[in-house]
Parts: sequence; structure tokens; C-alpha cells
Amino acid sequence: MADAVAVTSQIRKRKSVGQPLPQIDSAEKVKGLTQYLQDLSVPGMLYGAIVRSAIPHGLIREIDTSRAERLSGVRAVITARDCPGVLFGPQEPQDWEILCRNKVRYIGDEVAAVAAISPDVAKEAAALVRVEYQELPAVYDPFEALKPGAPVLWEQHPDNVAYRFHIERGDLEAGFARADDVFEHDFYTGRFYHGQMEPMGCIVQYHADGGYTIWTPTHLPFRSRMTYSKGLGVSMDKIRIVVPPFGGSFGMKYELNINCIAALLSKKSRRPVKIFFEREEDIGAGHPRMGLHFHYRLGVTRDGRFVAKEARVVGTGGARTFWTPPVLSTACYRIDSLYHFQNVRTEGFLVYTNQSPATCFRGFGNAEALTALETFIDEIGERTGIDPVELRRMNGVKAGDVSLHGWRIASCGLRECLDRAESVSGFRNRKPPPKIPPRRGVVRGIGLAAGHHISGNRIIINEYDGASAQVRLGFDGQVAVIVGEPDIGQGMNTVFAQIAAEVLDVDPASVRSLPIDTLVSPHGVGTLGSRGTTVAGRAVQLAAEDARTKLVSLAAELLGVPPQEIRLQSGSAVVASGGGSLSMAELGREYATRYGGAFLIGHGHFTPPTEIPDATKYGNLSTSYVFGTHVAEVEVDTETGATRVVRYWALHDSGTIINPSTATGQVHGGVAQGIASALLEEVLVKDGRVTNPNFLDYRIPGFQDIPEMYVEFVETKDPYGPFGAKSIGESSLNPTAAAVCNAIYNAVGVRVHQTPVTPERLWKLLETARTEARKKE
Amino acid sequence: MRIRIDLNGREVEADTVPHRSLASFLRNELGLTGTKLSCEVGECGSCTVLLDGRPVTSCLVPVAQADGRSVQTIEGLGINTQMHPLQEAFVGQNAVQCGFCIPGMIMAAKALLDRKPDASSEDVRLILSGNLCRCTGYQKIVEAVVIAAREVQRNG
Amino acid sequence: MTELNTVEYIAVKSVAEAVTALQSHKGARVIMGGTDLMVGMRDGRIRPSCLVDVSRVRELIGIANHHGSLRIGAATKITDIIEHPVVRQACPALVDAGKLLGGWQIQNMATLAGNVCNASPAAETAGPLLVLDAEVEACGPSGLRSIPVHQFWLGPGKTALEPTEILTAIIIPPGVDGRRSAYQRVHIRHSVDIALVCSAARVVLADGNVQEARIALGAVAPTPIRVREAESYLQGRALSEEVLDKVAELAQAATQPITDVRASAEYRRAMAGVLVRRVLQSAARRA
Repeated sequence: MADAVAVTSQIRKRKSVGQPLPQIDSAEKVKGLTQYLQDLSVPGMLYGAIVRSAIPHGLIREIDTSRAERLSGVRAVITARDCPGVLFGPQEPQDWEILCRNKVRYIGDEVAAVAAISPDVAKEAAALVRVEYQELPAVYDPFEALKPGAPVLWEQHPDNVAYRFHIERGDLEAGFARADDVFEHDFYTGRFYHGQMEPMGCIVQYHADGGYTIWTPTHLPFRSRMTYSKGLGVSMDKIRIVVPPFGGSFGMKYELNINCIAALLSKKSRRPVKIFFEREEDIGAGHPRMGLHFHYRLGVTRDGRFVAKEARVVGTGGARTFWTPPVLSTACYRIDSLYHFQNVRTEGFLVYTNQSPATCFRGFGNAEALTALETFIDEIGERTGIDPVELRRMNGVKAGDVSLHGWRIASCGLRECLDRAESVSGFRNRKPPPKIPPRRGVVRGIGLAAGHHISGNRIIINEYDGASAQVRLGFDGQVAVIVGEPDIGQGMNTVFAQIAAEVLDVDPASVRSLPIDTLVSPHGVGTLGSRGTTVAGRAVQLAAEDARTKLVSLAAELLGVPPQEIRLQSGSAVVASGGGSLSMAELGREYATRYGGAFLIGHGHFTPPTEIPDATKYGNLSTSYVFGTHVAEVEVDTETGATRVVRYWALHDSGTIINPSTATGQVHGGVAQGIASALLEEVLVKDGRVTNPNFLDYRIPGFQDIPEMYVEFVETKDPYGPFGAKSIGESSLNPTAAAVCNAIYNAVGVRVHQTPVTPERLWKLLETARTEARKKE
Repeated sequence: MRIRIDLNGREVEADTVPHRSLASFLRNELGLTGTKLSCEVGECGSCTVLLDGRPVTSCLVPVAQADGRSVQTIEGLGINTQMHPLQEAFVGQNAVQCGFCIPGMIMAAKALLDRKPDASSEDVRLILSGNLCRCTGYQKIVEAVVIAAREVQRNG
Repeated sequence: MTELNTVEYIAVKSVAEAVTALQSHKGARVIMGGTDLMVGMRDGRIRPSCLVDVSRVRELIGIANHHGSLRIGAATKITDIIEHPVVRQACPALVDAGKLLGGWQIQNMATLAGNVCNASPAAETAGPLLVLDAEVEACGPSGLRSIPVHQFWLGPGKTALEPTEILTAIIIPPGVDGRRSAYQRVHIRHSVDIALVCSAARVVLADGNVQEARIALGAVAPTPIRVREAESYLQGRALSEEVLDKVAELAQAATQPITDVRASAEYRRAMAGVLVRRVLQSAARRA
């Protein structure tokens, strides 16, 4: 009998997992009822504004806050004197100051702050703070900054290197000796801003015990609490972070100094303080994806095997360190788990420059590295005469492989993605590029690129990887999921509900995920590194299974049958052979009645098979690895250089798809951002000042810039994620820019080595190519 | 300055600063926070409301210019728990991710369907191009508006 | 400036009231659609002491076609202009430009007069008005006057309007045949964007030859410009490849572009040539 039940549950068609259900909270969103941080206020709340450095580099001589203090409606003005004065930050080197003590390092560096009764008064007061500087020479270009004698931002780092990455595996020289051809390639990916529709912000309230409550949308409330706790000089338990719904982030809202500034304003004014950026501040003093320079040397055998790869990666980190060190290391070596290069050496430099500090962005350095490498492989294919898709097949990883650095690829659909991409897009039948770019006319081209990503990253919190969850049933019959991973707008809570609902066989639309609050939520690593579905989702599955066992045993007792006879079916516990059932509501009420109102709680935790990399950076970093292939078709106006993506195909191996509708939405959004990074967007900086800090000149793509896309999932079986699910959030974006660049080459026969490929940039390349061709004639 | 607005079918009267934006007035004075502010220079469409039935970016409308006119915001769409076909379709198609651009998007889409009940996907892409979204890549939004258009037509 | 600043607000009902208000309030500004003014006030570039709202002055709204001229009231919204059957037939260049002026929302707010008064070198509608030989009608304390549009812009943000004058209408004079006119631009984003360079052209053809030509360029000089050398060169010629090449060359020579955050001078000059060819061809194709 027991076997029969098990078999039934195994062969039962999935009811929730795999269904294209709507996001659980979207009804609130379409009615305009969702309260984002922008909409929140706390009684008695003041508004904060930040006094920012007007110069790129200099010593602070004097700060005069008296006029600001005298302005009617001002309740607090703070400077470095009000700060604990410790250097802190999310990563090494820890170089954050809540407010600058004696030196400013970029235009926008935080010097002082005010709290006032309205945003306008605060803004006016901030403008009244006078700061006298002694200007120092500044440096913006990372290669200039690396030269001896360059202006030094931090005396602890006289070479301006914030972080240096080195990795070496195999015998590089021997590898190059085996190569029949050696190719070189340079690529630069520009500073790219998140463009999340809701700017950054927070509300902070100071408490009598010296602690703080922070309302802020953050991917990693617990991890950021560690950072703020050091900066504010209070223990972790004194900081409570409550996470409201996200108005977008894509990595921008990991950890932000404004939380500490607002905390100190609240402490001084004894009132809750809200800081909320306007768009100009969000772009101008915000934290974009860093500019990355790649130099590759790749050794290839006559038959197309990669045998050696040497790389140098230089990142423009800006004046302080946010999440850029792991972004840089990712840009340096994650691609070694997509292809077997056999022998590798990579040097990476994260360089201090007098610009706003950069941080992480969806794709986390891997999108940039793939842009550089996948355009390179396209070129190698052409120069060796070996089909570039075949090069990828030949050198790509397979299920069961262990990468050079010990990353264990448990499942891999790379080849299936390549095959399907070729056949659905017609890439195989592409025309060769023109030898000389045509002088006039609109020409089409098609490009392909592969990509991969992780599903969870071991190095976010030192102590552990993994996630825990509870699935609980209450007196009111409500099934709820409790995790420490916030929904960042992508529909995580819906996926959790589907997983729990699948296990318990209840209606997923009735399952609620509790909001994240560090006072009550389990200690989650966070929603980042594409770990939500795979790692936290697995914990939810295990918690639901635990709840199921408890429910079955409760129902068996109440119905007077052995537990083996109970099965959960459509929201009830039923006796398999007939003769009685109890609804979830009845079970929840019975349990609570019996135990003083207690919830019936299933616990689950998942510890992934990951390892902290050793001193040589060897060790399996992630639970599971995902793969994809994108094909872009573009039209290039050969006279203006304007490019438009007209058709698009995205093929992904993300394991089992929990929700095909939201997963497809992730791909659509990732591709759109990838197209933007390829063609449109760059934070432009002149003499340290952002020259396009608004949506007029920082152009995020609109309806007319993004084509209709074809999305298909190639499902592989992965042993770790819930029901075999892997990630999609970041892999959706990773191959895009390279696919577009390769398509541009196919259209006009000109290679681009820099993104974004704006009309003017491409026009210059086309003009150069046409001029050279004329000379040859 | 004293102004009077027909707001979502109800008369609203208030004393206000005339040059403050309609968006600020709706959000800060009336507490209607469904209208979002994102770029504040009329480039993103997040603050779209209908002024005498036409979509405008309310961040650029001085509230005095709304005096004596009708203003429709997302709060006026759908009655109580009932949803407008556009809202239904946005939910059903998962045209919503973070949702911050969605109220403005839906208001612009409503104006489009009011004028062109048989809007095609090309119409949607062209006419709504003053509304930006960072999450969805637009495809599901286009699908949702087209589905809603069919629904609106079916129900006359 | 913010909501804290005191700005007097006068919603006038007639042009006469508007002029009186401008006379009696130093530092007053006329507000029509507000799309440029509200942005300027927000970032502090424009700090009026008083706003004179003319958006509901009846005599300023509407499009009238009489005595062969087309009169577009100053407060007429872009949407109403580009949807107007007479405008669509008589001035397609203006319709091309209006459709690219912001998105739908902006077109519902902005006015032609506002776009003209903002005096941006890149203004969408400037080129079309130049090639349509438009006149600006202004009213001040001493009554109405008419200014040819090519004399109206004095520099970025500067116009020939006196502080006590208000623009009342844009007039396309009788006898201007605008049926073969077009506007195009080079931009970065295919959705709403600003022109890096823009161009408008109008031709009157007879037996396949150009009888009369007007060519204008935007964002290549401190004000929108006419390319008169190219216009006279075109007279009596057919729009052959060679002729278009020459026109493009003349157009480029007429530019004095700058390098800014949107484009380099070099690119702007090159695109001026590209656009002039294209708008001429597009204009000539129209019947």
C-alpha cells in the first residue's frame, strides 16, 4: 500500500510546477495599490538630502553648516564628526565612510547630510552647506591610474589597485606551444546603469536601544546588515531591515551607504528619515556596472581545440569598493566553466579612479566577459574556417565535466541549445558578411552567441551557503512560505508558492510568501547570484515535504487510519481507499486548537554541494550551471551606423521550468537589457562628471528598440534544484550583447570591440573600413 | 490657489501651489500613490494619467492646468475588486514584473483602446513608445494590450 | 526651483489679458503645454516670478485655413496639429516632425508655439516651419506683428520675442506649396528621443525638375538653419544622384556643428549630408 501511494505521487501529473501562473502580487500592482518605498511614509518622518562633493578629488578644508542649520524646517545636519569614523563596506578593501572625513574622491562623494520637514527644504538646506576644498589632481582612466606617478586615491593603495586577481591552471606556455594558431582580441564593455524604474531610497528610524529599523528594498537584507552594523558601530541584532516591494534593482540595491546616512540623521533628529533619490542623483551619483577592458590571447589547434588562454582584465572600479571585487573575479574566470581552455592564466585589476563607485549588475561580470569572448570565438571561427558553432560544441563543457577550477557541471544543455538555436533561427543558412561595408542602404545580418551562468554562489556569506525555509499552516487555513530571500520583482514568491503547492497539492494562488523582515525571517543569503529558485526554492520544497509528513500524520490520527492511507489531494487530506477527508483549513484549525494557536510548520534547509575556493581558487562555486544560446538578427543603416535588432531567438537550459510564463518574462527582460548594453546605454563621464544623468540622454530602450523574441527552454535534469530547476535571471542577459555584435559583423563586415555600439561609433568604423578599401583600390 | 478637479468621477477641491506638478499633487496631497514618479522629465511615462481623456505625463503638468478638468488615474480603473480588461490581461499574461511602470503603462494603454479599440501589436509598440519598462522587454505588455483590446471589443 | 518658491499664477482668458500680465509682472513667463518649462523650472534653469497660463485662451487654439494661409493657434496641441486633415495634406513635414516630438503624452501636452519659443537648435518642428516659409505672429503692448520664422531664432534659447510679447500663431502664408515636404532625423533610440541632427525639405516639382526648393537643418548650428546655397543650386535640376551628392556637400558646408554629449561635430556634419539627401527624396516622393 505504501509503495502504491509513492508511485501514485510520482506519476501524478504536476499541477503547479510547470504551470504559467500569474505573479501572485500582480493584481495589487496593476491596481496601483502596491506600496513601494517611494510611496511609504512613517509618522513624523523627515526627508534627507545629501551634500555631495562638487570636485573629483580633493582635501576637505572646512565645512560650514551654519546656514543650513538656521534654515526653517531643518532638523538635523550631519558631517563626518557625527559618524563613528570606521572604514567599512561590503567587500575587501573596506573603504566606505558614512561621510567623508578629510578627502573627497569623486564628484558626488558624500560630505554632509541634512534632514528636514520636506524634500524641498532638505534640498535647499543641502545647497546651503559650504564646503571648502583643496583640489588634488584626479584620474579617470584605469590605465592612467595604474601608471607610476598617477594621482593616488587611497594611501593604503599607492598603486591604485583596489583588488588584484590572479589565476593559473595547467601549463600555459606548453599549451601555446601545442597551438597551431594564436589569436588576440581586445574588448571594452562600457559603464552601464541599472535604469531600474524606482530610484534608490530608504527610510530609517532610530530606536531607544541605540538600534535602527531600515525599510529598504535590498537583495540581501542579512548580508547588508553585517555591513551597516560595522559602519554604524552597533551589533547586528540592533538593526532590523524590512524589505518593501522592489521597483526594480538588477543589482543596484544590494548595499547602499544612504542607509547609514539616513540612520545617523535619524539618530540626530530622533525622527524617522527618508532618503529617496531623484533620477539625476540615481544616475549621477549612483553605482553602475563598471567599465571592463579585456585582452585575450587564445591558442587553438588546427582542428579547433582550445589549448591555452591568457587574459588580462582591467576594471574601472571608481573611488570606493562596492561589489566590484567578485564582479572582477567573475569576469576573469567564470568563462572557464563554459569552455575547456585546458591551460589558463588570467590577471585581473580592479582600479581606483575618481568616479562614482561601480557595483554589480545582472550578469555580474560574466555577461561582460561573454561579450568579449563570444565575439572573439566568432572571429576565430571565421579566421580558422571552422564553423563558430562547431567550435563551441567542440570545446564546450558537458554534463559530468569538472572545470579546470573544480566546478562540477551536473547537468548541461549547451549542445541542445546550440542545435535548437541553429535550426529555429536559420543561422546555418546565413550569408557571408560583405567584404567592404556598403556605402548606402540598410543591410541585415545574423549573429549567434552562447552563454552560461551559475545558480547560486558560494562566496556571498563566508560561514555558509544554502537556504532555509518554513512552510506553515495556520488556524485560518492559510499556507505560507517563509524564506530569507526577497522577491525582487521577478516573481520569486510565485515560484515558491508553486513549489510548496506542488508538494502539498493545494492551489498555488492561495499560498502566500511572508514579507522579508530580519526580525522574523530566516537568515537568508539573499536573492542574488541567480540562486533564488535553485537554492531557496529547494529549501521550500524540503520544508513543504516536512509539512506534508506532519499533515499526513495529523490527518491519519484524526481520521483514524494509518498514515500510509492518507494522501494530500486538491487542498485536502483524504483517505486513499475512500471514507473521509479533512480540508487544510480543518487541519490548520485542529492543530492550532490543540497547541495553543501554534502553526503547523514544516522545516527545510538545503546545503548545496559547493566549496569555498582554496588559495589557488579551486573549488566548486555553485549548485548548478545553466546554459543558453542566443541569435540576433539586425538591420544596420550603413550611412548613419544606426542598428536595430529585428528578430531574436533565445534558447535556454535552466533545468525544469517552474513557471514558463515568468521564466519567459525573465528572458525577455534580460535580452532587452542585453540589447541596451550592446547598442544604447553608457554612463558618460567627462572630467569626472556624469554628462548624461537623466532619461533624456541616458536612453533605456523603449518598445521600438526591442523586437519580438522567440524563447524556448531545453529542459535538462539537474539533481539539486527543486524538481530539477536551475536559474534563468542572469543567463537570460549574458549572451545577448555578443549575439548583437556578431550580427553587426555579419551585416557589414566590421568587427566592433566596444559596447555600446552607438550609431556614431559604428559609423566611424564603417567609414574607416570604406576609406581603407578605397585606398586599396 | 484653489483648484477643482473631476478626479476619477468625483469632484475634488483643494488649495495648492499652482506650479506644483499634477503628479506631486496626486501623490502628496491626495495620497493617491498609484501614479509613480521615475524620471520626472516626461521621458518614461510612469506618471501617465488621463487629462480630459488624453494621456499626459503628470510630472510636467502644473496642477493649475488641471483645474476644472477631468483626471483619471490608475485608482479609477476597475471597481473595487473588479478589474478593467487591461488589468486582467496584464495579470494573466505576466506583463508585470516589478510593476513600477505598470500604472502609467495601463493608463496609456487605456487611452489607446479608447481611441482604437482594435489596436494591433504594431499600434501598441508605436503609440505606447513614450512608456518605458526595465523588467519585461515589452513583449508580454504588447500581448496583454492586444488581448485586452479583443476583450473590450467583445463586450462592446 | 521647487514648490517652496513663490510663483504667481495667472490663468488668462484672452491675449490682451496675457499681454497686460506680462507688462505688469517682471520676470513673468508664458506657459502653454509646460513640457519644456516644467523641466527648466525643476532643474533651476528657468526661474519665473509669475506664470501666465494661456493654454485655455480660445483665440489661441485651433487651426484655421483662410485666404489660402494656414493659421495654427499658439496653444494648439501637437496631437491636434498632426491629426488635422489640412495639415496632413498641406504640410506633411510638420506631421513627420510632430510624430517624433516626444511620445504620445508629450504630443498631448506640447504646443507648436512652445516648441518654437523654446528655441532649441534641435527642435523638431523648426525645420518644417523654415521650409514652409512660416511666419510667427506675436502680440505685444503695441499690437500684432509678424516675424518670418528664419528671423525668429537668435541663438539657443533666444528668440526675437520681447518680454512683454506673446506668440499668438504660426502662419503658413498663402502660396506656399507644402505638399511635397518631409522631415527626418538621426537619433540613437528608436523610441522617444531627441534629434542628433535633423533636416526638413520642401520641393515644388515641374516636369520632374525642381522648381522651388527649401532645405533646413537642425542641431548643426546655434539655431535651426536654411541651406540657401543648396536651395538655389537645386532650382531647375532633377534630383539625380549627382545632384543629391552636390546638395549634400553644400549642406555640410553650411553647418557649424558642435561636439556635445549627444554627438561629435564630425558625425553631425556627415549626417547633415545624409539627411538632406533623404528628406529631399522623401519629399519628392510625396504627391
